[in-house]
Amino acid sequence: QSTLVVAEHNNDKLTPITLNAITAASQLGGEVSCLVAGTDCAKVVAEISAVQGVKKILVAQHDSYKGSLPEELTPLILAVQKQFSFTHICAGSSAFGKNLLPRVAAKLDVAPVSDIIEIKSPDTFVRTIYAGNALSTVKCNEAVKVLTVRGTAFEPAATEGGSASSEDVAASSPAGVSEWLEQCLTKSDRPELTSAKVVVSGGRGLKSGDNFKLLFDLADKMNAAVGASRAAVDAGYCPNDMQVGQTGKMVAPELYIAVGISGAIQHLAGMKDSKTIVAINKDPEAPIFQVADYGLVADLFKAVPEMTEALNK
Amino acid sequence: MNLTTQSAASQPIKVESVGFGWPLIGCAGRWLPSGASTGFTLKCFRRVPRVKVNVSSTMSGRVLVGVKRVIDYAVKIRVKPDNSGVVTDGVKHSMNPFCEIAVEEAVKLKEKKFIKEVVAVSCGPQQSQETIRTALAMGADRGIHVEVTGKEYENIGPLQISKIMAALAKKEDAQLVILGKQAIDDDCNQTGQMTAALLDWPQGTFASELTLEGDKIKVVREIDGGLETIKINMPAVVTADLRLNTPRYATLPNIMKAKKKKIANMKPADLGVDLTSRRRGRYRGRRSARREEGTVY
Repeated sequence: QSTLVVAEHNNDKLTPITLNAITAASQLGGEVSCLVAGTDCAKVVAEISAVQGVKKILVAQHDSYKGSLPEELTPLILAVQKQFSFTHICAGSSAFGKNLLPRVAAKLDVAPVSDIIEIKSPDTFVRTIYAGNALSTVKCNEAVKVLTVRGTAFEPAATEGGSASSEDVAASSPAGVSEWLEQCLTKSDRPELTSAKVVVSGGRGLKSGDNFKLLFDLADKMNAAVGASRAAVDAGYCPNDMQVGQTGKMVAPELYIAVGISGAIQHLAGMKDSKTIVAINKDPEAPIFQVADYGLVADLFKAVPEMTEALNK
Repeated sequence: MNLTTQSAASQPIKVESVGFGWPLIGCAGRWLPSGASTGFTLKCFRRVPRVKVNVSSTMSGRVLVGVKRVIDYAVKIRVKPDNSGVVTDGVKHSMNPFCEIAVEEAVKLKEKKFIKEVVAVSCGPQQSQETIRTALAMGADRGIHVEVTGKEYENIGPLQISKIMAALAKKEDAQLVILGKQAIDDDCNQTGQMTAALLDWPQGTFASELTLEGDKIKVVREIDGGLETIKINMPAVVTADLRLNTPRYATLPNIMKAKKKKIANMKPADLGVDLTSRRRGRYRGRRSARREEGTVY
C-alpha cells in the first residue's frame, strides 16, 4: 500500500492544503510520496522534504507545467502511476485538485471520491452531500483510489522534522492543447480564508460594498480573514473568491463571526463546522441563530464599530 | 459576457446586443415599428450581415449540454431510515442550478450565431424528460434522454455519466460540451473533467467567462483567491460556475414551443456504455442546528 500526494504550489511556495492532504495520506497507512511538477520547483522540493510523513518526493520539471494545466499534468501522473503502482492518489480539494484528479481517474477508469472529510479505512471514506446536509460513507472498490481531501477536515502535517528523499522523474511530452495565459489573484494582507483561525463574514445586511470596511477594520484587529455570503457576492458587494458556502469556500475556523447574514442553507454548508459561531443580525428569526453558539440581535452598524472599539482598548 | 470575433476585414467586432437572433452592431435597440397602425410588428432597422465565425469547416457547430434532475435546492432533504439513500418520493425536483447556467450559455452562443445547434442531454428515469423540456423551453433545439432506471440509476456516478456524455459527444459530432461544474445533490464536481479525459479534449472548468476565438476558446476560470485565464483548443469541455451568466426564465410561448421539440430516447447499451459501478454508499443525516439557546436580546 502506498499513496501519491499531488503537491499544489506556485513554484515558489507550497499551497497549505497540500499539508492537509499529506495528513490524510498518512492516515491511509503505507508510504507517502509527493509529486512536485512545475517549471522551477527546487524551493518547493526543499519545503516538502522537511514535512513529516513524506518518504519520497518525485520531481518533474518542464516548461509545459506552467499554470498546472490538467491536460499536461495528467499524462505525467499516469506515467508515474505506471512506474510506482500507488494504491491511492490524492490531492487537496482546491480548484487545482478538483480540476486535475477526476481527469486522472477517468484515464485510469476508476471512480474518484471528491472532497472526503474522514477516512474510515483505506477503502472507505466519508464525504458530505447535499451541501453538507447529509453524510455519505463511500466504499470504493476501485483498484486505485483517487481522492480529493477537504482541507478543513484534516490537520496540516508538521513542516519540520521530516527527511524525504527526492528523485527526478521524466517529464511527459507536452500535450499542447491548452495554454495558460494569466492569473489575477485578489491581493490581501489578511490570512487566507480557508486556513484562518478567525473569519468575519458579511451578508446582504451590510447594504453596500463600502460598508464591508466595517468588517475589514474588525478583522484586522483580530487577525481574521473576511468572507461573504453568496447574497453579498451576487449583489456585487465583494468578489466571488470571498464567498463562503456550498458553492464557495468551506471554512472551519476556531471562531466564525457572521454579520448581517440570514443563514441560507447554502451558506451554512460552508461554515457550520466552525468551532464557535457568533451571529449578529437584527432579525431574531434569522436561521443563522439556529447554528450560532452566540447570537447578538442588534443593528450591525452599531454593534460592529462597538466591537472594534472594544478591541482597541 | 462579451463575445469577440474576427469579421471578414479581420476587424474585431463586439456583439453588443442580440434580439430575435439577429446580431446588431453598434445600434443596439434600434428596432422601429413597421406601421403606426399596429405598432406591434417590429422590423429590424438595419440588418447587419451575420458575424463571420472562424469555425473550421469540419466542425459541426453543435453544443451538447448536460442537464441533471436533482432535488430542488430549496427542499430540506431527509435521509431514509435504513440509511440507503435520500428520500426522493414526493419531493420537488428541478434542474440542477449549474446545469441551468450551462444551458443559458449554450443558448447565448447560438443566439450570437457562434454555433448552430444546442442539444440537451439527461441520463436518468422517465422524469428526466421534464428536465430536458425545461432546457428546450430555455432555447435548446432538441433533447436526448438516456434512460437509466431502478437499481442501475441508484448506483451510477459521474464516471458512468461521463462515459455516456463522451459517447454522445462523438456520436453527435459536438464541438463543445457544456456542463454545470457540480450537481447540488452529490456535490461531486467530476463529470466535466472526466468527460474531457475520456474524449482526450481540453477542459475549461469553473468558467466565469467564455470567449470564442476561431477554433480556440478563452476561458476565465474561478480559482482559489481569484481568476485565471486559459486558452484551449476546440473541441473542448467547459463547466459552468455561478458567475458565467444569469439563466433566463422560460416564457409561456417558449414552453409551448418546447412541447413540439424532439426528445430522442436511448439506453446506455445503445451507446456501448457499461454501467458497472464499483462504489457503494451509505448515508447519514446531519444535524443542521447545533444549539437552540444562548441568544442575547
